[in-house]
Amino acid sequence: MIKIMKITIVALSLLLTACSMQAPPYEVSIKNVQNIKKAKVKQVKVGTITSNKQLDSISLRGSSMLSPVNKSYGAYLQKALEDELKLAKLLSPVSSTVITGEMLTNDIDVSGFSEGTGEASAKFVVTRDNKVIFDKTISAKHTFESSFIGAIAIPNAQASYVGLVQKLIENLFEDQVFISVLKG
Amino acid sequence: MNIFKSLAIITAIAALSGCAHQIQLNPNTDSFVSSDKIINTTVGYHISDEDRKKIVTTDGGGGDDVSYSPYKDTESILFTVLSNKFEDVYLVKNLDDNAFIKENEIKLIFIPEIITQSSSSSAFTWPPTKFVIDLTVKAVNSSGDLVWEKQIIKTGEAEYDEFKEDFSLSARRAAEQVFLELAKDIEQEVSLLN
Repeated sequence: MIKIMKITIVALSLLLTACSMQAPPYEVSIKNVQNIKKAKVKQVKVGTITSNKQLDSISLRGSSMLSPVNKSYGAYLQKALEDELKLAKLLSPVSSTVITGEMLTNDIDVSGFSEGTGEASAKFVVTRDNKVIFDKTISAKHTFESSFIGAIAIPNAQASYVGLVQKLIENLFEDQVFISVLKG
Repeated sequence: MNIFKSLAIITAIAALSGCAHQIQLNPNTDSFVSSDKIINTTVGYHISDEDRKKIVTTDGGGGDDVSYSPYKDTESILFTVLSNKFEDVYLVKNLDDNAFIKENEIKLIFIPEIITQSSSSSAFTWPPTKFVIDLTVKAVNSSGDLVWEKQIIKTGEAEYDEFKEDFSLSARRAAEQVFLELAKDIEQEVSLLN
């Protein structure tokens, strides 16, 4: 009886969680858009932001979460940055000022039963007329409510990824050196 | 043995159910594009603090519920729709703040009202297979007069094979359809708004 119950619980748990899932689509941070608008920087182009295969799969209690953008979290960050600059009317595909980058860390820890954490960092490089004018690593940390129950903890962790990327871009837009080179 | 199996399944479902699972409504934004004719006007939108904090719980599958924040989750896409058509967009925290409205030369303020429903055809998985959004958007001018009003109702659907990668999929699909329709209505009826 106990064995059947255990097997059933495990089987149902598997039904309710997935082997692999996608991170949510990026949600533009209105705060980030307003902040970059207020900074009165010049229009920029966003180039490629890369990430390696190891960073492109985030493990959430055994389930892997992949990026919905070309299965690359670098591409996810690139699109997020483009979306925010576009809404601020600061994105130009022909600008000679180009932002590129490389994700260095990208992880969500949902092993805790009451709180989960997310950490991400990326090296951002700004070039103007092919000359590097900014080269800096920007990091972000994010916490969210978690649970002992996987069916609650995993969706919460999945949803938290957007907030982590919003925070990473917020930290980039708050970097005074970054702002000053975009003004120049 | 069949009785034992049935009991085991019921126990397992009971152990895993009775809770509200968090989902989000924010849609994929790939289809939301900037208008060819951006209106050189500043507009605002108003979502009260009470609405932004609101958590709504509706039905999921297997006896479970899902919970979400309809206004917080869709604020970004409302801002996107307005930014794609108007030169500048502000959050108007207080509709009576005439000084803020005047200072920023806000000509129109869009006010959303969102009603949602969800359900599932599955007894074993909690994510909703059907999600309905009933969105009413009112636009008032800087004097507070109602100048435009639109109601849009759309349904998003997702089956297990689709939502196993994204538990919020039916809700996101409903939100995508409803806000694409809003963008279309604003594009077509913008003359009425001027």
